[in-house]
Amino acid sequence: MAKYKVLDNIEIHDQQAWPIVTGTADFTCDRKMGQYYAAEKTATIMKGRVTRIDVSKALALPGVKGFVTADDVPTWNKNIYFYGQPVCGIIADNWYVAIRATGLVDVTYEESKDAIFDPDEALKAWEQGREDKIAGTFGGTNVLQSSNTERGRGGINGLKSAKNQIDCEFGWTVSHAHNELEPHSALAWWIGDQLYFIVGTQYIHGIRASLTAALGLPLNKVHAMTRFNCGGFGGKAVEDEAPIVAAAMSRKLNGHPVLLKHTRRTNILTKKRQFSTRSKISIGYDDDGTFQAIDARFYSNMGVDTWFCNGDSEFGLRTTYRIPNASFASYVVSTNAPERKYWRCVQDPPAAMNYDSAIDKLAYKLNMDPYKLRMKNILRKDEIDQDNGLYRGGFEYLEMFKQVHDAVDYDRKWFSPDTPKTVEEVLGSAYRGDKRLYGISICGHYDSHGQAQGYNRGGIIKMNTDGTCQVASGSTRGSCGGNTIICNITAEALGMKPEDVILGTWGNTDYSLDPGIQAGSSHTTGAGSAYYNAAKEVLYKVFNVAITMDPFKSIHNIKWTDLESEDSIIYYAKDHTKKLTFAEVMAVAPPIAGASNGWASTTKGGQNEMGQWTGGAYRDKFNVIKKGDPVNTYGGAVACAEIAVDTETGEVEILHYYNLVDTGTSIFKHGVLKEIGTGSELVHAQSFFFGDVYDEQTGALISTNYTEAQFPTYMDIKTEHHDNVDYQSDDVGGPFGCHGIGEPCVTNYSTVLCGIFNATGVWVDPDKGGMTPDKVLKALGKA
Amino acid sequence: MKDFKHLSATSFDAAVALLANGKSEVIAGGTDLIYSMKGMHTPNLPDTVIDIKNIPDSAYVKEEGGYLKIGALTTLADIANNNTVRGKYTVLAEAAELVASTELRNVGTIGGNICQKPRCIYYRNEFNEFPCIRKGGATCYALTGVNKYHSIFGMMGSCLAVCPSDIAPALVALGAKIVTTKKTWEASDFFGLDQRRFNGEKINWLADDEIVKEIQILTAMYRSTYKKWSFRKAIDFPMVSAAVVIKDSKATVALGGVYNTPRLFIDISISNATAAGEACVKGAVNTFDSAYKIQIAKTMVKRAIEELA
Repeated sequence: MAKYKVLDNIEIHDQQAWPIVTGTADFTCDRKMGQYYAAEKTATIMKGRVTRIDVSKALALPGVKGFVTADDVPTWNKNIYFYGQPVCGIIADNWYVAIRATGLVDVTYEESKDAIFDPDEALKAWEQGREDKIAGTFGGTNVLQSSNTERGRGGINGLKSAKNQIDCEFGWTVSHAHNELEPHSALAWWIGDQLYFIVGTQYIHGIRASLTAALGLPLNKVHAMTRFNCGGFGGKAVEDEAPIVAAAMSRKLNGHPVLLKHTRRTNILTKKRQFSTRSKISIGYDDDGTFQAIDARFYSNMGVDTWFCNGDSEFGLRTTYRIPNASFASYVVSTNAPERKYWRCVQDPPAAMNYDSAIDKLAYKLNMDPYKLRMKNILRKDEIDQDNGLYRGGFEYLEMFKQVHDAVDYDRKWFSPDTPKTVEEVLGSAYRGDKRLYGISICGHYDSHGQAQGYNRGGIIKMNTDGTCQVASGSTRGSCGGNTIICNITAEALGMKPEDVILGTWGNTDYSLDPGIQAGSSHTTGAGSAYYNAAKEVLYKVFNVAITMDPFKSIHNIKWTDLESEDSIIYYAKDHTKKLTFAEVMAVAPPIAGASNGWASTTKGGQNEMGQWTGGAYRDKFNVIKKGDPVNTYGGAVACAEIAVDTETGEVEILHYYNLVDTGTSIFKHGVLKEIGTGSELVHAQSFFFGDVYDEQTGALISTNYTEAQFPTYMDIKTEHHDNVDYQSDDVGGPFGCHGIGEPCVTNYSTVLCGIFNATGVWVDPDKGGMTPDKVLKALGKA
Repeated sequence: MKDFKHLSATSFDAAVALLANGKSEVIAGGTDLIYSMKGMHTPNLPDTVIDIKNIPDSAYVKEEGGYLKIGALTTLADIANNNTVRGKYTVLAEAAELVASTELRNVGTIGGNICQKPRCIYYRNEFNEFPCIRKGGATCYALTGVNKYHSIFGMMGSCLAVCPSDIAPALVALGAKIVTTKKTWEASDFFGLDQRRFNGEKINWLADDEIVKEIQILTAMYRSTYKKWSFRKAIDFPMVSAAVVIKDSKATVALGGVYNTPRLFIDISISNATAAGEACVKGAVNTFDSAYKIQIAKTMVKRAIEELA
């Protein structure tokens, strides 16, 4: 696959675009099968216990069919851990009746006095060893360590021996809901002891596994389907609550189909959100800015979540920079607040906000350009990972920083924060009269997502008699075109025209293998490797039929390996005048299909007799990586924000955002550029807009609609100011060498914070939110 | 959503008669009332809504008898796009143009805009989980809770919620009259600028059986502008707005989004825009998280005056 015909081809379009642009795409709630509708009643206390639920008034409402409580739903709990926890579900023949009926449910609580909402209170008590209040989800404490990495002499000892030291402490970063356009919903029904359900999810096989565990059913009795998803990826990763509740409701109503559809409010109240992080970072350094030691501690408020997904908070700092002595530790803090979990780019952005700021603070202390400080300390691409000892398949951060630097004309635009300049002074006549202060910042890092791990992923490909082939996908519809991606890989591996590879059955666990989660960060590499290997099996079978046919069969001692294919034509490799089309072969061939798992780049591997790849590096590189050797294949991103700060109103505008994302190989060019573009938009959103708003006395989340949650619209974000660029880093992690990019493209909103500092010389404290004008004014001493 | 009856009136008199029957409210564009009913924000939602959209000849913009007259059912889009309003009553056109989004301006009416309910994250919480003082409860939750979006000029009757109307400050600054089915109000009285208490859940002092019919503004060529500041530029309620009308060398300023009612300042000298801005935040308090609005309010006034001077 030295020269790609399909991959990275801008002419290839999304196989599932047609139903989307024509409005015929079907979503879970579009299904009509005479179902009942359901809504949830949520708790109005932060912590305690439900002692009584009176549904008599709700049941008296015409149209109401039934109800469920924690007695019926295995994952619900009579113990309350956050304001907004579901306590009762009402089923009716109309969704609005169901919602109205939830307002008639009377719930009596025994309220606990030891609820703890403030993560600082939880942290302080833990540090002092006197935890009087316990949120209740971690057992007898509110704080647990989720990861710890020691390097060299460690952080504390390393700092002691460093010539200089800077200590930085940062407050809580923003936490916000996904607020998917399509709220969580699930339609479930039973036929005998067989459970069927439709749900909007990124991971239909994973949800099926969750339901088998929650309901105590064998896998073959659970049939899961997913259709189109509308937004909120990350939030629809492993969200199993809606199908579990819908299944419990349907079971209580003798298997009648029930559609549980969340309202905007219950969706925001009960679904997962980005966690917030505070940190303490100390850097030991030489006079010239060379890093010698780092001690970094990241504390993440996870609400009531017990899944420690902040474990790699420090990943970018740990893996991007050369630091001989270090300690990196991550902790989870439990509070009586809605659970936080996956949000696009899980652990990296909150911590990156902090460590990128720390690097800029150090640069200022050294009277140094922060770009130059970073370049001094970034690892070269041929240096090994300092912790696991592996080489990186495509790590080119020095090159990426340089590309961004050159593209934005950084050297002409950067000035010390001590000598502020206006937008007009820096950008010239195009901004005549613009007296706002100009700032610029470049940040970037290796990202903890995107590693090629497909050894436990599966793909199925079936040849059709007309020479086309169908991909049976266990994936859902991804915004970046996940199903198109696996079709592209299949087409490239088979040597077929892209239009001859058709997406067949998709999103149905009965007709597919588990391709893993449909997330940009792992799906392309994980599922893609399974389909590559499945395609190789298909090719092996097709070629073995072809060599029994004219004109190949007359070639002496011909073997299947003597053939090759391109644009849906099979050639004798040594003489391209001898050829057959796939259609000609499949007209006489027996049914042919291929099914395979993928590979992991971090395990030693090679190529088997069918040409399937089994792991490790695909080819030699840097004279140090040998074919088959384990390699890291993470991706990452480098970005530059050019900003304007209105010091009278505190408003910050991003004048230009250059988002360069390491894709390895861009498998589906349109999807890649769109994904990077949405990442740039999310940088805007995280920087200036949404953040959860809580009433801290009751623990109630009160930003439960679009207006109060301050979600930006497309008109609030000037996408025309974005440059979204894919950087192809020649990754050796497999035959097509790609990285997942769904997460890294979102990460660098630290550029905005550092840019504000560059413009004004003041640091804005995001204080559980973005860099909103009120906080900028506060930093400027004007509020 | 609350269950309700929908009745249609074909005249203001008929609508008033229908209002007399039980818990009922008038609906025009419906952009605020339906939102509240879907969210069940308050226990005081109507059992019956009286649709007045079918009342003939109630949507118009015309200069007549020394007044600009605007029918209560005129959409905000029609006001924003009207050349007479844009040219002579600029502050009103600009205010109308900055309300919400295109879709909402196409259905929202000027009468509805000045009759919307207060804006407060607690008041607007669904299922009335925060039964605040405006809804008949005992307390204003914002006083000790989230008050970032709230008043900077203290409060009227122990409520920190702000008047969220873009149109209200423009009408107050223009010295408009509001004609209802009962009487003709001065805008300042209609919004209760001198009141020390609030009128239930209303942002104005309309009686329960009273309906806005027309807006009247003295005909003149006003030098005026409307500056709106909000976190989201494309669609949002004003966190701070400034309606500024200049006559001779003096400005009349009405601030929006900073108090329970529009906040009126008259005879503001325009010789020094910065000083004018300072004059309009005199009396503002910085004890709440809304303190940043003080800086923004004076900036909005300053910029408006610089633009007009």
